[in-house]
Amino acid sequence: MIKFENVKKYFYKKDRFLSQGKNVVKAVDGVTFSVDKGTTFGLVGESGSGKSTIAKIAVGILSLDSGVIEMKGDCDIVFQDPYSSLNPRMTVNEIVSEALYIRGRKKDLIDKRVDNVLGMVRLERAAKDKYPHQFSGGERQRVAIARALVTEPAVLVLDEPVSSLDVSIQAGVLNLLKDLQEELSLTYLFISHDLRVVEFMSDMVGVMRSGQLVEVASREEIYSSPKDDYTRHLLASIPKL
Amino acid sequence: MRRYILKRLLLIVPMLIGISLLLFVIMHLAPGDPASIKYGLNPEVSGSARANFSTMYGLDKPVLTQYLLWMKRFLSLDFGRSFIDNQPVSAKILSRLPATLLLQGVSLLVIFCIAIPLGIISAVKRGSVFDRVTTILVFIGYAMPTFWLALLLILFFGVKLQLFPVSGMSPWYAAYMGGFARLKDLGWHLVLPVAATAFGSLAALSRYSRSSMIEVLNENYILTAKAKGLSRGRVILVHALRNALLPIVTIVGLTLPVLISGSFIFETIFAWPGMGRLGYEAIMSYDYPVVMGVGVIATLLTLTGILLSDILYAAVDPRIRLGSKK
Repeated sequence: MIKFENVKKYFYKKDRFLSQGKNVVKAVDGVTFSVDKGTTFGLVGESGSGKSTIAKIAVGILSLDSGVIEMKGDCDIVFQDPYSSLNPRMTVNEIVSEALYIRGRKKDLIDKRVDNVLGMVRLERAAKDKYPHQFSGGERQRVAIARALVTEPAVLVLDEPVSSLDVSIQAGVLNLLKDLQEELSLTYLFISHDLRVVEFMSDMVGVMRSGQLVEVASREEIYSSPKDDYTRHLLASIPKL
Repeated sequence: MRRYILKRLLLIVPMLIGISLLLFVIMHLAPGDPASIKYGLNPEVSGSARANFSTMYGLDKPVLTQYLLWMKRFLSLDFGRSFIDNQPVSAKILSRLPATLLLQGVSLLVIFCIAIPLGIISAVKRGSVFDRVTTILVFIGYAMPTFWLALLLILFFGVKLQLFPVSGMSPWYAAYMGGFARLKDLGWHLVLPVAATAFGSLAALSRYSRSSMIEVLNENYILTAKAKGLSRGRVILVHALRNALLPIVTIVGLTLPVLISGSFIFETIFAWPGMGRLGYEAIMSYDYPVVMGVGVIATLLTLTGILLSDILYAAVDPRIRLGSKK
């Protein structure tokens, strides 16, 4: 379970030379929502609307300016681009196990846990000693998921986890995420600009625009009877197949 | 990997031929000749004696023939004898090489030990006062002609403050000093030449490492590392640094030619008894065999240095190391 209450995050852009004034970017401007345990909250909105800032705040990479975040258990994140989110000079084993080492776990327990997690994301054990560049995009994203799951988080932030993958591979990763959610009763904060993917994944959907949530409702409501103009505008822009 | 190294080693051959040919031709294009340098000011040497000297060393033959003759001897590892003192060129170079290697080695070490931390701190604290001050200093250092800097160093630290010796490698009484005192004295003599040699490359390398580090810090896997909950130090030193150092390894290859060509200038300014000064003196006295010998050795040192840094690059980057197997 994770809960955001009136969370704000502003960025200040200092102009280097002439002008003394500061530009304020209200990346997240008073956002409130909560996600129940074992469910998925889909966050949609155009690029620059503050979705990724929320993701980074949730896992603690960014601090928040004001507001409260409540969370039961740990939280971890899977980033968009599996080609750049994995350190090219570390083996899969090193990538996945590092978070356990800094927590001071014992070596044999770590090995077991890494095997276990790689099994969960359906990667073979031989993958452990390989480097990221030896995998396809979908496999890399599964390494990234294993990396996030290894510390047994209760909440997983998925920041555009499939948007850099081929459509044919997207389905595989999305189904895996759904299976994992069921097995481990994970709570997902699923961020995407792809409304069809969000529809497939989410229980609740929030629509973001310039740092604010303009509409929060269940998936059925959002997709059948959207209340906000902006939501309607977004839905109208889905390409029909 | 083995094929790659073999290919690169074979490529050294045509490069060496090209460079030695150029060197040989340029040397003969310069006005003047060995005979007039050796006997020109001596009224007791007749014209026929000078002609004999030229014939003896084959200097009356066409340049290309002379080059081929030189090449023939070079292939049997014979560099010939110096026109000036009739010593074998190889012996002359061998006696000077250690001093050059010492100076270049220490300079390289100093460059890396200062430039990389400087660049990394600048990158991590981008936009800070530290970053701006080093940026300005580095640009001044990069723009300054280093031979002029060398003279300034001598003037200030040597003449004014009398802190460091300004020339040579050891004093005449070095043979009477104890082992440790001699080592300390050598270090003392190294300070100014090393400072002058290292300065330009230090500026360049610190810029390289700064931009390389900034690039890596913007990578997503740094975000991933932060998301794992790693400490800031571990993120910077383990995740970022290891990747940022990769391109730096190749810069070693680019630094070596600068250092070796610089040795001609700095060894002359600081009267350092190395190969660079030997080359400079040989050029000034039209000592063709020594010029060619020093040129070839400097070329070989540079080429192998570049080759080594390329191999090192392949060895440290898993993407290149394992890429060939795939």
